[in-house]
Amino acid sequence: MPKAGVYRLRDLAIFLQGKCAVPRPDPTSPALRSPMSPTESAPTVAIVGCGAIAESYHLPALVRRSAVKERLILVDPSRDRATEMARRFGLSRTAESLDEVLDDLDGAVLAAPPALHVPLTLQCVRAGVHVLCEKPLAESGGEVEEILGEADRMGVVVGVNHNRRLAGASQLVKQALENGDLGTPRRIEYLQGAPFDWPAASGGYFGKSAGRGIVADLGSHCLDLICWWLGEKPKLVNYADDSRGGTEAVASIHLASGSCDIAVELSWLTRYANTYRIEGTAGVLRGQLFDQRSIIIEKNGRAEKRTAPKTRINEVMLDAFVAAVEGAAPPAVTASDVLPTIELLDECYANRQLLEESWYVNAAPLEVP
Amino acid sequence: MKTLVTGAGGFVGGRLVEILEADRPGSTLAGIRRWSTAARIGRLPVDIVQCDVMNPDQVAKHLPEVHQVVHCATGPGDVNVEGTRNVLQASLDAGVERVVHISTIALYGDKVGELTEDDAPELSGVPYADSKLRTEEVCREFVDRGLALSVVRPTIVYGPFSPNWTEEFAVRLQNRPWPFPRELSSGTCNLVYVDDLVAAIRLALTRPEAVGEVFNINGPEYPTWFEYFLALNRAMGLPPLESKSSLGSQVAAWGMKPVRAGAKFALARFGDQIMNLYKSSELAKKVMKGAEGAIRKSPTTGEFELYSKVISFPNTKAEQLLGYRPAVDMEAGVGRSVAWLKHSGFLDGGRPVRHA
Repeated sequence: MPKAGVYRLRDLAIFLQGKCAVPRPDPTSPALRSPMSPTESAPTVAIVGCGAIAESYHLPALVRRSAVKERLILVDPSRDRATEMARRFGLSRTAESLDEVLDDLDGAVLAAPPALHVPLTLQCVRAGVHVLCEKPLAESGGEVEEILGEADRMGVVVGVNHNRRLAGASQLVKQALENGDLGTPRRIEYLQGAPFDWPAASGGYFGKSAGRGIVADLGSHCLDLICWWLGEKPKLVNYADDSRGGTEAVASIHLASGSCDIAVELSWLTRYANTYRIEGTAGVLRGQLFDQRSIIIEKNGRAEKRTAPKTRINEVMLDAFVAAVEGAAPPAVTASDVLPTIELLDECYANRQLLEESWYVNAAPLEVP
Repeated sequence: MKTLVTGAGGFVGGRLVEILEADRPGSTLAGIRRWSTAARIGRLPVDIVQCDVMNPDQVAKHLPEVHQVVHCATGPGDVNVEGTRNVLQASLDAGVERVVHISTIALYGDKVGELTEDDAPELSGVPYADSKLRTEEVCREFVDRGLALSVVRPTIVYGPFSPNWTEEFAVRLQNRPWPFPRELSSGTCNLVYVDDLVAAIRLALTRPEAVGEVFNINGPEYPTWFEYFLALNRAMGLPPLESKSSLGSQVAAWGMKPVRAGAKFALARFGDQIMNLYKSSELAKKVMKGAEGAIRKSPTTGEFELYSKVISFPNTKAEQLLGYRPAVDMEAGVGRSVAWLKHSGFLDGGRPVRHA
């Protein structure tokens, strides 16, 4: 493992031990796998689902560690896609299904479409395989609890790729709130919108078969940050989106946490300000979503810019997962960490209202003679 | 009755799918080239298929289950001519009942005055317009071979999601000092609201009189461009629009001409290197954003030619053969457009306005 990676991992482990409650495997469990010592060979990990996120995020982070790369397996129902990715990243082993390789695995990175997250996670966990799952982990709190129960029984860890928690700016927000720099939060506004341009390799994101849209995708990030920042799950006040039977592309979420009013606006169709703003009784915090390192705090008539060190978030996330597989540290974000997020997501969809779009209603249907 | 819409991820194709699906649920096959364009139509319970018009096999694959095709897909290079040929050939082979091809009034080139379908299009040297003209020649070839095809030539299509005529002007009106000289904007703005265009397309799909015919499709009025700018500005609730001097505006346009040409050349020649520099250097990013902003805030000489042109496209033929009656006047269309702009974060600094 590269030396720099050791330092990053050690720093992350210290940070996480201080901040997160992570379920530890029960060492007395008969099903518990023996953690590997650092001198043993690297774990065998599979990436399940070779779409755009695997290509741009997980694979580059894993292949830079030669011992992990040597045993890395790519799984995708499209053999051509898996083979192409294997060729590009210099890997030798591919498979069309998880079943083919499950017995050989120590860990699995699940980057398949969201509808498969729960069944694949449970399949891995029940086989004693540690998991890092793409977000959202599940659709309901009940599903997360089932995963947690099974993981506890089998003595494996389940991490979730809620990588925005690892961004320096997000951590600065968390610190500012915990230190009381803003006083009591009164209002949070989170605006994220841009025309969808993710190079999706399949149609899994859209349409009647996809199910959930932007709220499960980008919304799971921002709701997770809000839950994490506040240290609790806010109450849902109102939720509306523009789904007319397919996947929502625009959503408006209104939450409340104590006396703090929270507005979240999301769009896959047009560009928003892409900012967040937290007003407290003692100051205002501002951040830009695409600036992952810095925030501005305005207080007593002065604006202070706070900047975190540079990090490669995918490397931190994947290194933490490999360390978790080796038994050395918990994953960066665990399944239990995201339980409030998933519950809140589910509440949004359960209380869905149609977003008002006056121009849409005015025009349809038309009469054709 | 199943209708395939090519280019369903675009402005007109997207609205057509929304209206068809609202009227006849389950009747539409939305064809897209890239999945990343599917977010808008993905809101509907509609069947979305990959249908790259440059891939004949991909096009042909979907046509056996289709009765009608509306060909909205457009693109650079050979996409208009060869892509259309692929769609029409596959439609002919599959025995599709009716096809509508979306063309443009841009193929009238530099002509002015009142233009009808009897006036011959002409090459203008503008790549988009010329490729659309050649595409119509392909359409005629397929009509001669027995395909039940109609061609619709819309004018200036505006409304929600219109990138050129709604979004762009909303940005410009907010980011003054983009000049809006009355004298140079006194030409005819042949506005057609997107829903009226969709109505015309649907009539062309169903009316037997439409087969083999070309239709210019316009809105119900003939405002000037400046009147359109005023209406949009007023509906957006912006400070009154004052006309700038035409001389100053022209000087600005001519002054930026070499900057535009240089930027275009550099992007075409060194696009990858420029993007890498943009990503790696804060200073370079600042300079490039500044240059982009300066370019965006100034008009082109070609734009003033367009806004000055006195030209009109009566709907007479579409009214007579299709029964087309545009229903959305400028005030109503601008009102709906601005409701969408507010909802979509174009006003109020990127913050969507709800329940406006």
